[in-house]
Amino acid sequence: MSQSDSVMLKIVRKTVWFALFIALAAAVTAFAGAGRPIDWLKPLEESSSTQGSAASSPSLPKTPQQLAAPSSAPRTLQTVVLDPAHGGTDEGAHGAGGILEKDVVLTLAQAVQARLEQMGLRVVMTRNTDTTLSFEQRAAIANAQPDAVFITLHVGSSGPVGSANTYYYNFGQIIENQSGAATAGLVDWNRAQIGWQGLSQRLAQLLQVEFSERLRNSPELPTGAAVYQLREIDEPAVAIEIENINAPSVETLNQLGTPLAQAISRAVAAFRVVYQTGAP
Amino acid sequence: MSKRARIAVIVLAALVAAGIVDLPRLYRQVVGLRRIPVSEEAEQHAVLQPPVPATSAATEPVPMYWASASAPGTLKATDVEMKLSADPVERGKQLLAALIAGPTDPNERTLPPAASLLEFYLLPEGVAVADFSSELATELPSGIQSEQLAVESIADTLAANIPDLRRLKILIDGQEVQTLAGHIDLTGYFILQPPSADATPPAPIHPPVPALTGPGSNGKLIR
Repeated sequence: MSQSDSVMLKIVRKTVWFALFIALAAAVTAFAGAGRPIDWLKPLEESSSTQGSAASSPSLPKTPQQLAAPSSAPRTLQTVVLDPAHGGTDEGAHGAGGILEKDVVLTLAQAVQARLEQMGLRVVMTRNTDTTLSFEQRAAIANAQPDAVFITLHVGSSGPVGSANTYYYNFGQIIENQSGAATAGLVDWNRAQIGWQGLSQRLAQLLQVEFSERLRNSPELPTGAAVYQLREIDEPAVAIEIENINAPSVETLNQLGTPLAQAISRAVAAFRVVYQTGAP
Repeated sequence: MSKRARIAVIVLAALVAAGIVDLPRLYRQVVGLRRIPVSEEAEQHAVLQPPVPATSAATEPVPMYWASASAPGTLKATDVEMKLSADPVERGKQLLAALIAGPTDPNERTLPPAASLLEFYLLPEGVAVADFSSELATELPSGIQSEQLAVESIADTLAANIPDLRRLKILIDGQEVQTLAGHIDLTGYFILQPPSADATPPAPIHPPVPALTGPGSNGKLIR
């Protein structure tokens, strides 16, 4: 082998080693990228496949950290976002005989959905199957709907069987000392409800009046409470808790679907007028 | 025998003698340890909730807020005879320990008996911090109403019995948590207001009272 061949062989060897090093570095980078926390929007894209009708698939919000402040312009209520609470690995309350809150609320929500769709309203379900969803994922589905209200359904374990209570988020006195830098005209994602508190309270009042007439032992007035799920919702939002998971049978709870659907549809119909004026 | 060997023997003999003299005391210690009839649970409870000294000379009726058995979803005040400490921190510990201990009617209970108060602090400007064990969340009956009543009973009992308290922060195992047990928001501070004299929980606002003017509970969340 000549001296020039020897030099060429060295160059080829070094080039091969360099290429191997680059390939290894690229592989390591790709592997590290796969281990990063998943972007929070990604599961929302996946979860959108669990929506009810194809027409109701929500679009995703562009800015997860901040939202535009509510406008006072006249509007028409078009959509009801129904949220069967819990689901998947989060079973919610457990009743005797294996009754699970996550199953009962899904059945009840589907009964309500059918009634609202008969009224000509568009209904978006946060889940139609036994799916695990975070607060943020549910809020993202709701917040992507223009001119909508959000109703989350729960089953409690302490009240008289067959009664229902409605809750709206009560921020009370707010101390403006937020963690993030405030942007003019925007509100933080986890305080999205603050601009809607009055309308949420009004919706809760209308619902509770209907419940008191149709579901025995239900109070006439709603309750202001710090229900976490509601604070991230950028539209009128309420939580309804049906009692109670310790009912004698799951049929007892499922039978509440009809009066519940009637009450919610009547309240939503009345709320449409309130919503249009924009005043609680 | 050399001089060194004799010294070593003397030292060893002295040590053996000292051991024999000390043997009865060691025996008593071993027997004493064996006699402590404390279950592991009771031992943990004693560590978590050491007895709080009461400095009042006499007992006094102390309003405690538990669930109303006759009006579901509401609280009612029940006077309990207690010797309350004059020190507000000790007083807070006494009140929350009594709240956990519960009422005579178990249906009026708002906090699970397995829960423990880990610590209670008072910060400047009337800020109270109550740190509970995780059982407060895990053993609480599931639901919005159960969690709401638990928070309100803590807030109302403290507000009614400790003057000048203004805010309450609830921690679980020393940490701020998002919710108590999946529903009620614990990320902020609850505003404390002395409950009304009739001891009924605050009524939600009647329509058509304008929104944002009234609370639904004494424990309102602020951030």
